[in-house]
Amino acid sequence: MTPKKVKKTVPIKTQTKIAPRGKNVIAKMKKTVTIPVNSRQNKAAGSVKRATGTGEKNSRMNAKKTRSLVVAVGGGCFWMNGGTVLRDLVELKNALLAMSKEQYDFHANKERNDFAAWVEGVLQDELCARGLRNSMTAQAASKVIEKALQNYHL
Amino acid sequence: MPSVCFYFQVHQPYRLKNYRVFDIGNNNEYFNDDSERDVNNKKVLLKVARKSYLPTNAILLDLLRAHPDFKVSFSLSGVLMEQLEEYSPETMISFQKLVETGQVEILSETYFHSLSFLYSKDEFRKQVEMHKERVRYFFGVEPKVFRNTELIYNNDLAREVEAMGFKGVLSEGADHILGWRSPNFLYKPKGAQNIKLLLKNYRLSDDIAFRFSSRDWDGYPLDAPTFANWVSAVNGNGNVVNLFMDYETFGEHQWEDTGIFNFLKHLPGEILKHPDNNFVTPSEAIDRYPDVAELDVPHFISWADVERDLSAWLSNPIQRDAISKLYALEEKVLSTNDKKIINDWRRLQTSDHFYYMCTKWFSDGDVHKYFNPYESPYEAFISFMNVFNDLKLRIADRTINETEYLV
Repeated sequence: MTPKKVKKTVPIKTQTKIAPRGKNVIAKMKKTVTIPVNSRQNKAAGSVKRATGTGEKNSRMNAKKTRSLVVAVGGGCFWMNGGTVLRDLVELKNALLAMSKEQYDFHANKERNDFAAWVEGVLQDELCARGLRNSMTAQAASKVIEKALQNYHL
Repeated sequence: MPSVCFYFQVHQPYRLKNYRVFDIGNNNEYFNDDSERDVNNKKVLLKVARKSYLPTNAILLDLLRAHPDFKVSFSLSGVLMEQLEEYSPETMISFQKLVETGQVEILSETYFHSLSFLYSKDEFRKQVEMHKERVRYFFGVEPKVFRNTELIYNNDLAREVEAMGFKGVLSEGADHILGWRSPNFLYKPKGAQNIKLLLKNYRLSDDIAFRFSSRDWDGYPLDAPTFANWVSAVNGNGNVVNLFMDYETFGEHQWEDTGIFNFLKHLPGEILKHPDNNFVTPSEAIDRYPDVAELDVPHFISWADVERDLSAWLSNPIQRDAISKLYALEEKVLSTNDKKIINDWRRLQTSDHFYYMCTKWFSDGDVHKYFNPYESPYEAFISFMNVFNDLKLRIADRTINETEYLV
């Protein structure tokens, strides 16, 4: 009897590990990653691209991650119904996970989809915005963002 | 650094008396009720002046003297200024004292607090000019920033008032036009060149104007330090917190026993405790902060009701019928050259007349009922149309007389 082959899979968690937010993380990132205001920042949209390191190690690690996370500033931030302010895709994903149905429906309804409009207009991710437009629930929208984040350096 | 921009709307209409069908052709005094009812304009004005304008002006004057950095702005409708001059000159003097501090900005609006922009651009421009003249007369200042009746606004209005020379315009930070954007920044109206748009932060404004005395509200009882903290929380996420509300909030909508005056007395000091906070007038906000984006508002918005649209004045057939008939008279009225006829026609344009005819008795029903001096919207409509028919007779009489004279 041949032993059953067990296919080793890498847990999804580690594939798409998202750095938690907070001062300590930013401090750690500063050691390996520079976060200057990108010279090509879109002033009208009120956003900056978080530039990443160019070291060989980072390049290998991020071979499939081609995009820099866009962080909105000032008038480009997402002002949620209720007052929470969101700056990037990670914050939006976390907010969607904690969002009530009423809150979601307020921003995403038949007339408009604020999440998609913001992601497209400010965070400049057209593909993710398209996915958000087709999301009927906050949970579905968070999954769209989780998938989109796989394309980003974090 | 969030700047706080206070704007207070000060307005009282000339309410129509209970004008019966038998009065048509016999009585051309429409606004002189002298009963104990709430359509007695003198009685209402004196009550509001005693409960709200005078005590609030006294508090503001003390605050402006105590805090040189404290600023506020007002718009007083032309019909309010007329009534203050006639019935309560001491109240007008108290407003003048506030303006004399140099820390108060007076904004422009239509003289008759009308919906003229929706029906006649010529009439709109005329009323704005009339208001400017009145502001110059009473306060010796030239308004630079415009706010339309009840913050009614769209792209066309912005372009129109920009062409009239204004550098800024106020409106409602309605969710459906802001989407993901914040009301705490200045915007550029779509199609405009230089004029900037200031939007009301309705959550914080309505905490004071509507929820202050509501015991069902999570924030009750609201005190000045708490509110100042809410304002300070905008730090980093906005340039200016626009707190726009009716001036009658103080003492009339929120009675003295709610603690509203005490709240007001302490608010500027509490806000200024945070070193990043300051106060600005609308003109100062426009000069200090850039617009962050273009805002497209193709359809009319306002600050009224949960809909933030025109439905408070124009949602039912009697409202639309009354107002369209009134503006259809424009040419005939103006051609009479009769000052009293023209003035009566313009007083009938005041938006409140159409607000009283509103039949939306749902979520905003209580608010409408509170502000309505008539027993029902239908009663308001009947009085209005009886007056309208009398006005038509006067115009016809005048026209016939002139024709006879010419013959």
